[in-house]
Amino acid sequence: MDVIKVKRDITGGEKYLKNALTYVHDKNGEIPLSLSGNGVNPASPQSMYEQMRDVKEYFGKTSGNQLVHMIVSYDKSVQDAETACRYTEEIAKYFANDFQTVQCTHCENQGNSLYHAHIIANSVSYTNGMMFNSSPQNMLQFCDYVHSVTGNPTWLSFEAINKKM
Amino acid sequence: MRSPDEKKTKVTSIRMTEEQHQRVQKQADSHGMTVSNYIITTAVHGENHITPKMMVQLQNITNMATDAVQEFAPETINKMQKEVDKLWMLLK
Repeated sequence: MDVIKVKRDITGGEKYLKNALTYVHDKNGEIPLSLSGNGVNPASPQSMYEQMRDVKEYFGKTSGNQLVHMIVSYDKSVQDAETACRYTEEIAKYFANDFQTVQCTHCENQGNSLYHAHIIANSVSYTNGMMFNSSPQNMLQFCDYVHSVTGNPTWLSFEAINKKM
Repeated sequence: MRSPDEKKTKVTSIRMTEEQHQRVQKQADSHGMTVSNYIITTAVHGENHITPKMMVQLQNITNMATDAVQEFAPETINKMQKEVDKLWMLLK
């Protein structure tokens, strides 16, 4: 089973965006198995941050929720890095027509999963400035898409990080 | 939480002909925007012909070019990205 976790932090602001992009680019000094971007320069966390920020500024939506962070933990039947990386690229295409994304693949034995993907999406659409809709209904559609890519059943969970300012 | 600066507090009604309204509505629909957001976006950025959509496409082409030249001419990657970064600046 592929486990899909959607992390939302509406209070973390720009710092959360910077931290998330840095983590995906360079997890504590560990180079990811794959790293790519849609509409951003994946070679530099600072560039990615500025390019996402540029889109937010264009549409006048720099405050509030900055990003949507999705983690796809692949079923343990996915046993090789090449397959995991290919799945990550295919899965990230789901958002490519509307949102800037950066995605990477990590190898980490989590019991039921050997490989997982992080997908960070800008919260503001580069086509029309609409905010990312991470409602359960929408994310269930995303789960269906993940299933169509990997062939595995999917499990969806949400993690809200709400800090008092 | 959206900052107070970004809250849309001003209301302006504008007059237009039936035909103009239809054209604006059609344009807004084609961009997946409301009429209100379409008018604001085009008015605010009217003189700027560079859009986020164009920059995303350009960045994706640059990423592909980067992958292609990485092995044979890595020194060109930074130069190429610097030129694209100049265009990103024009979005502002």
